[in-house]
Amino acid sequence: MDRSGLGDAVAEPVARQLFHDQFAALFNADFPRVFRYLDRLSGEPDLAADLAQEAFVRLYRRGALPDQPQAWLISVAMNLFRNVKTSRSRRRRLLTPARAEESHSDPPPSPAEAEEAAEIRRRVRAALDRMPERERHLLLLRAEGYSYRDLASALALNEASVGVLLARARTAFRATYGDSPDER
Amino acid sequence: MNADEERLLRHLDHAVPRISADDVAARARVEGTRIRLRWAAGFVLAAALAGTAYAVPGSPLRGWFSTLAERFREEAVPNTDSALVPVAPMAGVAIVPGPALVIEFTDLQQQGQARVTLTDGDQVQVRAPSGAATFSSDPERLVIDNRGSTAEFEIEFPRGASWIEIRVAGARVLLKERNRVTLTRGAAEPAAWSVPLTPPR
Repeated sequence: MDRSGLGDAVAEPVARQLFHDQFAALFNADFPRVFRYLDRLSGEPDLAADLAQEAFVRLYRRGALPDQPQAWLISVAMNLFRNVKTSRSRRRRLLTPARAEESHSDPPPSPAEAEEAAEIRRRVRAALDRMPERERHLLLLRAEGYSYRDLASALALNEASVGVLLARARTAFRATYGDSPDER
Repeated sequence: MNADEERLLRHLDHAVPRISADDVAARARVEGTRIRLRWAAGFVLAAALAGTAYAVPGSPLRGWFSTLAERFREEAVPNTDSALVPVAPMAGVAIVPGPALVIEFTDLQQQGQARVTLTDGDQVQVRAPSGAATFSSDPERLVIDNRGSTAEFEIEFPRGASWIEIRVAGARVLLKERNRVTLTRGAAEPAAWSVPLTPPR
């Protein structure tokens, strides 16, 4: 395994282009869900954008994809968020993203609908913040469709226990939200 | 996840930033060059400091290097009577920490530990056998990519550093907060702390 960094790990132009193509495919598929996971976790979209970008920058600097790239990205994103919380230091903005335009296919909500949406948002945020940290990560990552294998790898869990822990996380979320949606 | 849980979580969402893979790749190349230059500068500075310390009369480094040289000489002559442990060339990094520094080992190891000591200097220094890890750093973070390594690491903290944390695979194992050092895992020795890099039992 090459440990010397980007420039030496991908010396051949063909290999370099192959890695770039693999990276681009992974980025296009996974950046939205890494961002969304961090956004839901933090409640701060600018921070989520910074951290999601940082995770992919670090992946690119490896020069080669890891064995489990999705799990690797989750781990890095999680650690980055944890370090921000711990140190409270503001990261440099890596890029200035152009915000996607809001969808205008639906008519704007009425004041009552907007108020209801704001109330739900507040309650969901409060419910997540009250959950144990591990359950919070499990819930949000599973919501993005990550496999049990990726969850186990990212959270240093036994894969066989992910299902039980996830069920516990969902129960905790419903309990703290104070709602009782129908089970599928 | 069921539909109701999905619906609730979607209330938290914001629009996904429009960023391309090419933008991120370009930034990664610039960052990589900048960090390699910073690491090289730090290592040169550490080497210069080591050279200065060696030159000081009565320096303990003289004895240390003499011992290393003796071991290499012994290795050149096969000795079947005793088991000599070859001393690998060392590599490392030295940085001046900011107000808060996180030292992050990216992976757990099958064996090995990090031994932490305090110094009177103003730099954080990390040393390991050459090839054991790659380092990347800025004043707030020092990342040690130790994937696949079984090496022993030596880490020095400035005594006056206000906040330094060591993490292994995302979990905090040691925290120096002003004059207080707290271990989550590992053992304290007189004037040193040993932090295991292996999985917790």
